[in-house]
Amino acid sequence: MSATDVKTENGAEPDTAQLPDVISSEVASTPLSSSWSRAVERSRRGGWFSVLTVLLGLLFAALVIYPLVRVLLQIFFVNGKFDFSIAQEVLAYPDLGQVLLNTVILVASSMVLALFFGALFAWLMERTDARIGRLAALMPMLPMLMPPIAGAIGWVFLLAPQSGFINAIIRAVLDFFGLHLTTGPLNIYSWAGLIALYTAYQIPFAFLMITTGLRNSDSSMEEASRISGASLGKTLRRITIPVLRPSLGAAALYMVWFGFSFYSVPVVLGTQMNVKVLPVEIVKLLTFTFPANTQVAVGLSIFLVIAIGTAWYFQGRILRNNRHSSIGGKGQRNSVTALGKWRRPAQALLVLYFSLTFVLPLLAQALVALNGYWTTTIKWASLDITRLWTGITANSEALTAFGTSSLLGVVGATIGITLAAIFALYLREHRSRLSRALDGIIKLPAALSAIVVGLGFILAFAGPPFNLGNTIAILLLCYLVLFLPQATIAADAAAAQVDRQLSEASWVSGAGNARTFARINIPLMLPGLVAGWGLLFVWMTGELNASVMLAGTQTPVVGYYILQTFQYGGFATLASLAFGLTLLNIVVLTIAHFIEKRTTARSS
Amino acid sequence: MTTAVSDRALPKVVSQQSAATPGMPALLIENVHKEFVRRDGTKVPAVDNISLRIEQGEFVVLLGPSGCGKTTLLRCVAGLEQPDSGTIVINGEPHYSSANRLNSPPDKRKLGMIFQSYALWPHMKVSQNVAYPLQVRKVPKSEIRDRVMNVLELAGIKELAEQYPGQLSGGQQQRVALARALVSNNGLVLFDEPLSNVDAKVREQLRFEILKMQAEIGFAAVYVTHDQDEAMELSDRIAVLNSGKISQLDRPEAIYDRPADRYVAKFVGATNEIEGVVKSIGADGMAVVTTEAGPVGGVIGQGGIAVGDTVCIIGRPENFVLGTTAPRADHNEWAGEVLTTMFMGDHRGAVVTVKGWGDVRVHFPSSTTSEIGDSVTVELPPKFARIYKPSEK
Repeated sequence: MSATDVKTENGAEPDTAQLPDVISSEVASTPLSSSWSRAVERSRRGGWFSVLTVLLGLLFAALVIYPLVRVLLQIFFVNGKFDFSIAQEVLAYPDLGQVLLNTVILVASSMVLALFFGALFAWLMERTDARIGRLAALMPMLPMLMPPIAGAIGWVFLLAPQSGFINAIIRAVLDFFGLHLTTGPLNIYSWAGLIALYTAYQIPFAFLMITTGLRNSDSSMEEASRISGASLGKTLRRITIPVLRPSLGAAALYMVWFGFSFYSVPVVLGTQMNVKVLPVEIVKLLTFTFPANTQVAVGLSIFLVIAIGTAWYFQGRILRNNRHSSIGGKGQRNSVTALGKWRRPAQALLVLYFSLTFVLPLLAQALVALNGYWTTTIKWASLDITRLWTGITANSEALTAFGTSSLLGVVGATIGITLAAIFALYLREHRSRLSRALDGIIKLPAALSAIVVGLGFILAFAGPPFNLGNTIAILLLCYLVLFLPQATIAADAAAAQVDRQLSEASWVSGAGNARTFARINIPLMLPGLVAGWGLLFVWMTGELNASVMLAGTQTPVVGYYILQTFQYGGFATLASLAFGLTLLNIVVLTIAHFIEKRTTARSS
Repeated sequence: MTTAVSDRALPKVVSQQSAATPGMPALLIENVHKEFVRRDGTKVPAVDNISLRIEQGEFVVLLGPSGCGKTTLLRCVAGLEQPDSGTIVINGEPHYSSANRLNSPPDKRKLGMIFQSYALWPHMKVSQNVAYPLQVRKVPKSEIRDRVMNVLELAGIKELAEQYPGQLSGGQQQRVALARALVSNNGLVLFDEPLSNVDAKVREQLRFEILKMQAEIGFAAVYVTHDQDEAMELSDRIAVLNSGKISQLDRPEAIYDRPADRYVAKFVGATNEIEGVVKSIGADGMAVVTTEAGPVGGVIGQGGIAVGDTVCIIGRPENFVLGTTAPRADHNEWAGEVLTTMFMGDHRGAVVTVKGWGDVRVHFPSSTTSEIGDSVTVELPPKFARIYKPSEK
């Protein structure tokens, strides 16, 4: 129904010769410039608001493209000449093979485990009576409630061989049976520990995507298979898994994307174990090496891009091979399998996962903070509640970091969700080549690693002529680029809730685009936008991958500061920061949730 | 509605209309053309060079099945779609002209429009919904309140002013949409299948109220629907659309009694149909067609026919006469057997099996009866039998 498409096609029509200019310049094969000028012409017709939208879009596109171009230039040109010597330098990087192998092992093993557990949890929650409603809603949110850097610290507190709380408890129990250990028996600084934490943080994504897949597929397909005589296992193999293939593929893709740039867990654990992984090496070359070896850091990031690109390719193949995308059973409640005696154990498993990834690390953070230092011999009487926050407030740097992150979160989320709302509406109403290109560019960072984007920002904006290095501005811009894809997804969903005719009714009433946006679209999209704002805030305050490169001593952010504190000691501050960050996230997401609910109730 | 109230309401609601010079059409559509491109690249003309002139205060219905282009045409008038070519002039002011590269946005066209989904803004109260077009057009605040209350009173929903649309029934929402469309426009209101979402009883009531308000305020209307009863009842004129073209544009009676072609005949009202070959053509516009049911006399429809043409003859159920005397040959009378009968309130219907015709639907007064299995005579007076070329689908 696109006016543009029609017009463009019409240019080839012979009988429109009497309408010269508008149409003859719009033959399908016109160069891009003409299609741009046409878009500008169209947007001018739409009033100043459309002009503003297009300008913002172009500005933002430049913000995405320019750093990436700088990364590419860095790879292929040295001192202004085409040069591929970087390849030799990268290939000569010490332990390159080992680094890549470590990364692949971690990503692959955690992906398999996370797919298994994610699918199991999704099935338990969606299709069986083991469902725990509140937990089902909370599960995909876990990595946002407790950012991985905070979670990793929590797990170090729990499972460090000497002073890990769980180890201490196990040792006490074993001691009772006459078995004396001085360390262990468990050790978070191990391959098992690494893989377990990778998996723990991958499960929510698998859970979310497979849950969506299950919701969109009709359980009567499985029932039909059972009635046809297939066993539960055969039904799973022949019906459920093939139907879920797109969701499984999407989950796997996301995990490759996430896993290859996962920085917090390997930097906390791997550094101690001397297990090197790709994102940590890249950041190390750039930030913790003097002088920074940008050239090789950029070269190494190619491997990230290759891994993610390969994942995209296979994802595309899965989607192409999948021709049964429209699956019936819309809106109906899927039937629920009674698990009988397995129901309680299944629920126990779900609760255990929740405890391991959220409750226990949070308790460990709180305990270390309350105690003032990290020890297994807790003097319960001398725990001090004020220490929960004095770890932050008594330390001016920690306080600055917390303040900076909160400020970035508030400002970034507000700008981000507003931009996303403007773009989402523009893209919905204009299906031109320009708008499609903008859409692609806005979503591009989601297909790249935060490490690569962060690298690009250093190359592009840290030095002259922008000189934004060590400023809040560079962090803010980078966060916007990184998270606008997610923000537009939230805004798209919010826009989809608002019938187009509501905008049209406003136009016909005599309101232009700006007024329609302010008085009709924004109020109606508000619930979705508030939810999106909450997520953006949480992502931005917990961001580490790019921040670790972009933040400096002038502009410390929480993630960066937690990492530094971890490397130089100061566990009370560390625990206090990790706990505070988690608490902040919980509070913000809860408030956003309630505002969302209230505004939804009011306007429906 | 008391006259006192509507007298007060009238001047303000209709204030812009007085600007219209006499004789100037409310809407002038000239050669408007719009194509859509299917996914496979083929072009479909949604609106195929349509021209249409709507006078001040006139109620014109665009009637046709889904996909005939009626909604596209309406949206082109509103400025919500852009035609490929043509001219659209509203109250003497050009708003679209491909020759002049003119296409004004919807907010500059000063129309009232009622959407299929009503498109009431759920976050605004009824009074706020109705006030919006006035606020946008910078009407002074003191005046807004009066005009809103007047138009709400006119629509019979004054007591709902402080409610949210979500709290209203379908019929009430419809009235709000109507009030919003009427509160500020230059005498032209567009209706996009507004009654398709309410149940039959409410629909009838609302049709009546639309007519009443039109009589009181006197706006011109373009009304899109696929419901022929609605079209008949509301319109001064009906434009029957077929594949983007106007098949017939006329008063409802003319459309019903003298459909221009087979498509219009079949779309407007129920029909019985038989195929045949033209045997002879009379000087009085009548012709005789040889069919399986024998020779049938009838009136030649628009487009003309020649001897030897394959044609079809169409008769409406209420024009068939059910009798008991034996059929006379060559008098458009045939013997048949009653297959089923239906009681339809104000009349009865029967399906009669007639050799050659197949199943013929016949309407007759409720006072007469007919039993299943009765042998009857069916007559179609030649003046009600209309002959069309079958190619005019």
